[in-house]
Amino acid sequence: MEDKNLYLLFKKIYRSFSKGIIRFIYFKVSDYEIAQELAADTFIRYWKALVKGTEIKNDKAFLYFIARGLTIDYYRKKSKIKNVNIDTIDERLLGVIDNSEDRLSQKQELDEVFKKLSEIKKEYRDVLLLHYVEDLEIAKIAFILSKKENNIRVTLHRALKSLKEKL
Amino acid sequence: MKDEYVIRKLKLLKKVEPGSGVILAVEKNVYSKIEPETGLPFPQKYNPFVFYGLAAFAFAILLLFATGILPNRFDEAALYSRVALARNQYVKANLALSNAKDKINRLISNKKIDKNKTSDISRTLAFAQGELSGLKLMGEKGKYTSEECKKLYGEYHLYLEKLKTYFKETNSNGEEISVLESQIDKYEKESGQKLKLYLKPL
Repeated sequence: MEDKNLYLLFKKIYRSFSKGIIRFIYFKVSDYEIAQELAADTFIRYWKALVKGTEIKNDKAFLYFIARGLTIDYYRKKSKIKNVNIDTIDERLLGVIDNSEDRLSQKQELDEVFKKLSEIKKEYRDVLLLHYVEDLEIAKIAFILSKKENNIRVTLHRALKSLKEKL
Repeated sequence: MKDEYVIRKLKLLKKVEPGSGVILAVEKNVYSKIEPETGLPFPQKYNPFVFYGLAAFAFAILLLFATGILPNRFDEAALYSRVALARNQYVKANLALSNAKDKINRLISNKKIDKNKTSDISRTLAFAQGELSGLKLMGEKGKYTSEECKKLYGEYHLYLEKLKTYFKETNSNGEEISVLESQIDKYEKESGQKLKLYLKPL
């Protein structure tokens, strides 16, 4: 693919998926600054794959696959960094509810789900976020998590049950 | 409790999203990293000799401008040029922070603050804050480590506290001071949050 077309494609992909990628990473690492850094790394790796000519069947799934991989690397390095317990969502990510009349109750509701989500297994959290928040189908989630589709269906069911017990 | 209730709660999380400023900042960060590695992703490849020639010319113009029209801003222009040409973000942040530390020390030793000094300190802090924000807390392989990053943030936080104490002890007041103090509070809070991430487990 010509350089110009590659650049335009990349720009389009970035604009389409950057919000979701940053959000997904944030829910996994609970730190807005780290989420931004890892999101940037995600897109850099995506760009490198594009330039290399890697066959990408689905750009969205591929991006989440990279993002998840980078968060796993981050957890491995995290032994140098203390795990700060975060119970509430960073205010800077809640601009969309700023002008709501019931902003406070919405924030409380969001913080509650966020906290309960962080209490369940990581594997469960991933499938719930990918399916219900990032709107990815089972087949795409199976690719992202390198598992079979049936496995994802079962995990999704168990994940919902696990979160239900917490809420 | 029904599954639908849990799913509804989960879908609320779609409201969580980064602001447009952050989207643009991350995009800029991405482009700054991919362009040096792969060459400009634009239709025409650039001739590196022409590029360096143009960069040197632009630098010379900047220096002339700074010394000719704003001679008292020469130090600032020289700093900005050094930061722009620094080899990585750690060096940039270190330069900006050293400059901020020097100015804070000079301010404290002079024991006198006026409107020009407040705007100068404000500008200096904003610049340091900007460069420090560009650091990756986990470090960058081959460029700088997370320990080095932590050290810079530690020094920055210390100097912000020093400045706050100075204003308290000198009973400095006025609108410019209040604005500056709010700025310092904000930066202190952010640097404090970043330092918390480095606390070693017991």
